[in-house]
Parts: sequence; C-alpha cells; structure tokens
Amino acid sequence: MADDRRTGKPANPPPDPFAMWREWVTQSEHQMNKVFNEMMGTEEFARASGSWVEAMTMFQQTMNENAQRYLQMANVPTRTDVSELAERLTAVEERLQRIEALLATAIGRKEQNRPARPARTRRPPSERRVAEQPEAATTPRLIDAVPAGAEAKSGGAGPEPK
Amino acid sequence: MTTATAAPGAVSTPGEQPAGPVNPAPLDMSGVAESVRREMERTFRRSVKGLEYISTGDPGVGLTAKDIVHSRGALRLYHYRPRVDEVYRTPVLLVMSLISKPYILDLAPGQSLVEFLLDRGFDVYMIDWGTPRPEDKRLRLEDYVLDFIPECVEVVHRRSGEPDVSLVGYCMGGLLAALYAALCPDAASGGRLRNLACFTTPVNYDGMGLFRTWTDPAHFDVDRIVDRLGNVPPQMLYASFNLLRPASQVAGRVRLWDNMWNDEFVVSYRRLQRWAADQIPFPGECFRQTTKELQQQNLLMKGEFQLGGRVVDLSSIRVPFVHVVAEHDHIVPYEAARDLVGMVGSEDREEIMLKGGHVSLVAGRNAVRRLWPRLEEWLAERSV
Repeated sequence: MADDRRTGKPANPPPDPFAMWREWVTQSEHQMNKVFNEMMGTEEFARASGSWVEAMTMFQQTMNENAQRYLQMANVPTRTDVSELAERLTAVEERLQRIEALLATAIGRKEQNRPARPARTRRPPSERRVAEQPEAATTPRLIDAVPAGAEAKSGGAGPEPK
Repeated sequence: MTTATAAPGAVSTPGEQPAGPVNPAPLDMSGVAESVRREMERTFRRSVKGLEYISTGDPGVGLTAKDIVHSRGALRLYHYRPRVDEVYRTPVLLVMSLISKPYILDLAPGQSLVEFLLDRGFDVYMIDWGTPRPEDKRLRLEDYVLDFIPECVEVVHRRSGEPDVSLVGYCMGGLLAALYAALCPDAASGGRLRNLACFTTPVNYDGMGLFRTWTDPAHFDVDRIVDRLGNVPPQMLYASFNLLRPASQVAGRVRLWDNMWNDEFVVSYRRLQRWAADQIPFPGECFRQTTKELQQQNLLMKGEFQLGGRVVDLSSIRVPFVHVVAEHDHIVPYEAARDLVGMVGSEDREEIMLKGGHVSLVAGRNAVRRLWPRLEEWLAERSV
C-alpha cells in the first residue's frame, strides 16, 4: 500500500461513494439555487409574484371580513373588538408605568428585586495581560474565550435555514 | 517508499529509492468496504433516531437566566443574570430585528452569544420586540428608534447605575441601533450611547438583490398589502426568505437524513430550523415605511431619510463603531451592507468581514470561533 510519508495515510485513497454523493448534493444545491435565482430575478417573475401577493391579500381580506360578519351575527367579540380593548389596556399600562417611574424618581427609590450586583471593575484582557505579564505570556486568551464544549455542541456547519 | 505489496502500516526510511519502475498504486478496496459498513450502521441508527425525531418536541431555546425589567405592549426588556463576580463597567444592550425572534442570540447552553458575553464579564440586556399584535399595525420606525429604544436605554441606566451603554444590533436591529445613534445624543454629548456594534446591517438597498426586484413598485403594491392585512403575516416573510435559496430547503432535509445518526447535528438543526420557521408578523406601517422609503427609494443611502421630521445623518454617529459582515450572506448581501462603515462619522470605526452566512455569523460553531471572540475583544477595550 502506498502511504504518505508524513501522515502514514494512503497516498491513493479509495473513492468513498458516500462522500462523493454528499459532494454531489452540495454542488447540485449551489447550481440549482443559482438557476432559480436567475429565474426569480427577472421582471416576469416579479410581476407574477406581485399578482400572487395581490390575490393572496385579497383572499385573506375577504376571509377576515366574512369571519367578522359571522362573529357579529353570533354576538361574539371580533378580533377588532379585542384589539380595541387591548389598545386601551396598553394605554393604561403605559400610563401606570410612567407614574411608577415618576414616583421612583420623586422618592429616590432604586430598582427593586435586583439580584446581587457584581463589581463593575473588570479590565480588558490586554490590561490584565500587562499586569500579569509572565503568566499571560503563556496563556492564549482566545482559546479560553470559547465556552467549554461549545464547539462540540454547535452541531457542525449546521443548516443555514434563512 | 513502501510498495503496494508492503505490509499495511510499513514505513519507509528517508532517502530510500524505488527499486524498479513506479506503477500506479492500486486502490485499497478495503476502505470502500469499511465505508459501506459504516453507512449500513448509520442507516440502522437513522431509522431509530428518525422515530425519535418525529416523536419528540423541539429542544428548548432562550434558556439563560434572566429577569424582565421593563415591558410595554409586546416589548420586553431582559436583564440576564450575571455569571461572574466582576463585570465591565458599561452594560451591553442587544437590539434584535423586528422580523425574527431574539433567541437566535441565546439558542442553548454553549451556543448562546448571551451566555458567552455573560461568562466574559459583560452585563447583558436585550430588547425583545415580542410578537406584534393587530393593534401594533400603526407602529412606525419612529416609535422604535425615538421612543422604545431610548426608553430601554434609560431603564438600563437606572438599573445599572451607569451613565452609558453599548448597543449591539443584529440585521434590522443594527439598523434600528444605527438610526438611534444618529438621532439621539451620545455619551459625549449628554446622552447614553458609548459604543455601537452592528452585525450585517443593510443601508444601501440597491444592493438587496432579489428583495429589491420583488418589491419593485411596478409590481408590488405595499399600500394594498398593509391596508388589507394590517400587520404583514409571518408566512409571507418566511416564504420570501425561503425563495432566496429554494434548493437549500431540500438539501437541508437530505443533510438532516444523512446526519440523523448524529444527535448533536440533529439538535442543532432543530434549534436553527425552529428559529427560522418561528417568524413573527411585521408591523404594517413599519413595513410600508421600510418598503417605500428604504427598499424602493433608498432614501437612507441618499441622505434623505427622515424620522420624526429630522433627516437621518449617519455621519453624526461619533461613538466607537464596528460593523461585522458575513462573506456569504444571502439575506443582506455585502453590497447592501458595505457602505455603513463609510457613512458613520466615528474616528474609531472598523468593518470586519468573517466567513459564514447571515445566521451562522451569530450562531453555531462558526460564530463561537469567529464572531464571539472578536466582539468580546472589541467591546472589552471600550467598556471600562
């Protein structure tokens, strides 16, 4: 068997049919995306998608109006009624918050239910390195910056869903 | 050099010459057999794991401990509980996009930018815009930039006791943060803003590729959509994002099946897929405003974009500024994002281009290795 002198791996590795299939999936994905993007970048597609959106919104509007009429006939609050109520509630909520904030300012009260506060005295690593020169010189900082196990848990290249 | 007949694992000595003519090495078919055996084993595990995949729910997301310190309508301001005894003086406020949920920055332990920043000594807050309700259809960019963000910044100030704050915005959140920075006074002028970091933030909408074509006013009547529907339904946004890379949906499913034996891949896939599908409605008036004034007329780039009666001049941003862009971003292409760093007026400003896409820039293995340490480094120097 022919081996690479440095790595000891076969110099002429056998073709892995599954690796080839994975590569084919990736290449096909790129090519098809390219073809679709060229097609969808045309004025014809923009016009067609505009018509589709127009039809979809009209259908949605008709559905909403019909549902509203039906709910009114059944003497049940519609979404519009609930929204109006929610708007009034939000307004009351906001007014209450403004009053609370004013009160807090007036009596000089600090925020309540605050967890124990850590000291806000942390210095950047560069300054800490200067202060602890001998130790810092042997400690690569960015390796430490990655949370333990983060590489393993992130799941590879992962999907790029949107 | 060893010959094809040498025992496996035999190692040649340096300087050894071939004894005769060199023949092409024959293929080692035992490797193919091994590959087939491995795939057979994986196929069995795929079947078992596939059943598990169908029968179990989505993994939990956004689990880092936090308190809701302010709420208004759908908006929630989170303060994440500190995880170290000593933090940097300046708190960090994360600003999310209006069209996606904020847990992409806090996916899971070990995959959370929030957790990373906490562990590296930052005091972290986040604005979650929530899910817009029907009555939120009247919200405009003015509400977000001139009302909600300043209010949250004040809450952070009151809670932390610190006079200033660093803003970090992702995607459209970066745009909101930049607009706030341009229109509200910074820390040096009696305001609260100390540093500004934006990730993949569009400013030149001529560079928005297919989105630009699809929203051409000749074919896309935004007024009719908003007048009819109020808020723009999430399905419409999700469909438009998917259309940018239609084949990737199929390829993603194929890769999921291929990696079904790998628990880590599956969990990561499900978390990201859940986030991608977990779209929220876009407030109607805000959609009308961004589509007409930014997407169709590109007013921000022309220096004619107005909010609250004031022209937005990004050159009035003077605070330290960094813009991180992704090399393979298909949602906000580089052509749409590259002008931002040149438009701000800060002396201390830089653009960092990292490998990856729109999502993998901030979440996943690449983000852990690339963006997060760079952000920590940049913020740490400017947060004391």
